[in-house]
Amino acid sequence: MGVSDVPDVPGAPRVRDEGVEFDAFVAARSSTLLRTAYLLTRDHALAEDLLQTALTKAWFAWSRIETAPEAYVRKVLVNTYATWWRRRWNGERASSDLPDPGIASSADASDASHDLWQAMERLPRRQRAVVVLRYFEDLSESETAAVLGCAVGTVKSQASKALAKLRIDPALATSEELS
Amino acid sequence: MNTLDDLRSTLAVHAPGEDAALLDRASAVRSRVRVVRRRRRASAVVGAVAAVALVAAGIVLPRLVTDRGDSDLAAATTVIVDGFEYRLVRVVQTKPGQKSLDVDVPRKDSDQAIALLAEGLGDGRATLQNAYDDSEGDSWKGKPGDRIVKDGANPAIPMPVYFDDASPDLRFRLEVEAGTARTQVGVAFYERTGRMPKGLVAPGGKTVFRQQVGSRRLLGGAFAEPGEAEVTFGFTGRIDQTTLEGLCTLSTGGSPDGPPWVNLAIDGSGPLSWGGCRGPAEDAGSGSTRWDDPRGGRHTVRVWVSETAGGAPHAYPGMTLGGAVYDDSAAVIVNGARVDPVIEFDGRVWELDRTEIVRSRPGRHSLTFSSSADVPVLLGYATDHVTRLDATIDGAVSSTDGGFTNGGGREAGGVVSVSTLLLPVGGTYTLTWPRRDVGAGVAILVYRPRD
Repeated sequence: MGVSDVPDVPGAPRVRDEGVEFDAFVAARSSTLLRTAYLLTRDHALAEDLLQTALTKAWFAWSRIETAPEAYVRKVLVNTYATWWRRRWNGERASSDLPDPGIASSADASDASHDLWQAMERLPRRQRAVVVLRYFEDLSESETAAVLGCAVGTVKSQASKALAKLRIDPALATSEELS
Repeated sequence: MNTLDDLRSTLAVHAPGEDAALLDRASAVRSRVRVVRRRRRASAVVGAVAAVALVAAGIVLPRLVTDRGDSDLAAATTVIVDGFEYRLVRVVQTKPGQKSLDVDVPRKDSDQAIALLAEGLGDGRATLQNAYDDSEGDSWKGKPGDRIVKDGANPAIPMPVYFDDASPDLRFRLEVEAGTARTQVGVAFYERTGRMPKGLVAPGGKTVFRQQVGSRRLLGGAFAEPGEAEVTFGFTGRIDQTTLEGLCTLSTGGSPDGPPWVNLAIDGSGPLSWGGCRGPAEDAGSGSTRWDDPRGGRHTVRVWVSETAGGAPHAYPGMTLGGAVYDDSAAVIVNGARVDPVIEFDGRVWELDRTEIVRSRPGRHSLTFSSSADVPVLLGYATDHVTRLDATIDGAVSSTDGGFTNGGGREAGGVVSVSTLLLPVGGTYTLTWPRRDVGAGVAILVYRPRD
C-alpha cells in the first residue's frame, strides 16, 4: 500500500487508492480513538503516541482490515497499551506514576468525579482497559473480550475487581448485564 | 460508594473533547511508516556491516549456508542460551512469499540451538514445528517449537527435540500464516562453543555453577578436587531463602539410583540423601533442594558421596562432585510454595506476570487462563492440598499439546511445575481437580518472555 500518484484520467482503469481511504479513516475516526487512548494512558502525548503506533500497524494491514478498520485499530491500541506500553513505562520509570500535564476541566469541580479519576490511575492496565471499553466505549462483555483477546469470564472478573477498587459495588456490573 | 453513572460521567468528562493533532495525524503516521520501512531494510544492512567488522578483526565467521546460496535474513553470529555461548553454523530461509519450509538437520552430539528469523512479516506469523513421527509420510505430526510474530530474530532457544530416536535426522517444518508477498522467514542454527559462563567452574573446566540463574544468585559453592569424595563450603543468609544443589556426575554415564549416594548437610544437620549421579553435564544446576530452616547468619554446607545413604565418603572413578547455594529471597509465595519470579526455560528468560496469577476460590474445582496476545506464555501451577490435577488446552487433554496430567500432593505448598505452551489468541488453559479435595488451593502461574 502506498500513496497513490496515479492521475484520475478519464477512461483509464480506476485504481483503488488505499492511501486516500486510510486518510479518510484517520480523519473520520481517529479523534474517537484518541479519547480511548487518553483514558488508558491519562497523558495527551502518550495517547497520541499510542494512537499513531496503532494506526501505523493498521497501515501495513490495511488490505486485510479495510472493511472494519476501527475495530482493528481499537484492538491494536488496547493490546499495545497492555503489553508493549507496559514495558516502556516500567523500563523508564521507577514508579508506576504516569505523567499527567493536567487539563482544565469541569471534572475538577466535583470531588467524587476527581476521586474516581484518581482511582482509575491506580487500576492495573488490563482492568483499566476493561473499564474504558465497557463504560466509555459501551462495548458489551463479549465485544470487550474480543478486543482484549480473552474470555468473557475474564472480562467479568476484571470488571468486578476494577469496580471494587473504584469503590463501585461490583454487583452492579453483573446486574446491569442482566437488566 | 460511587455508581456506574458516576464512572461513565467521569470518563466522558475526562476524555479530551478537542483533537488538535487531527490534521497532522495522517502525515505523522506516514512518517512512522517510512521509518518502519527504513528500519526493516536497514536491519539486513547492519548484519552485513557487523559481519565485515568481525572478519576485519580476525575472527573466523562460520560459513553461512542457505537455500538460496546467500542469506537475506540477519542472524547473530553468537548467542547466549541458558547462559552458554553458541555460534552460528547455518541459516535456512524461504523465498519471498513462500508459505512453508521443511528442514532436515543431521543429528550431532553437541548441543544445538535455533533462532527464528523473519522479514516483511507484517501482521503474519511463522511457527516452527518439529516432527516426532515421520512414519506416515506426508501426514505431518508436528509440535510447535517456536513462533515468530515480528520482523527480526527471535531469541535463540535450545533445539527442540521430540523426534523418533531412530531417525538419523531431525526434521522441522516452518509454516507462515498470513504475511505478505515479501515475507521471508528462516531458521538460524547454532552450536555450543567451549566458552563457559560466569560462575564457579569445576576442575577440568567442563561443569559450572552459574553466577545468576533466573532470579537466583550464587551465594557460595565449591567443587571437590579430583579423587576426593567430599567438599565443604560456606555461605551467609537465611537458609529457607536459598536453594541448595549437590552435584555428582560420572564420566561413564549416569546412574538413576544409588549407589553412589549424594548427601548434603548444613551446619551438621541432616543429611539429605538421594541416590544416583548424572552423566556429564555442563550446567550444574541452581538448586533442586530447599531446606525449611529460618536461621540466618553464616552456615557451612558439606556435600559428599557414599556407597549407602548417609554413609562414609567414597570416591568413584570419573566423578565430578560439587555443591552450591543460591539466593532465593526474591521468590513469591503462592499457595505456600516458593515460586521464582524469573526463570530460565527452553533457553529463554521468563518473568512471572504477577497480575495474572489466577487463584482458585473455595468450592471451585477448575481454573482457566485465556491468552490475550499472540506471544508465547509459560504456564505452570502451584497447588495446595490437591490430590490430582488435570490440565487441558482448549478442552483437549494431550501431552503432545502441552497438556499434562499429574498426581498432586496433599501437603501444603506441595507442587510447583511449569510447561511451555504456545497458546493462540483466545486459547484457554484449564486446570481441574477432584471435588473431594476440599480446601484445595490451585494457582496458575503465567510467565512471559523477558526478552
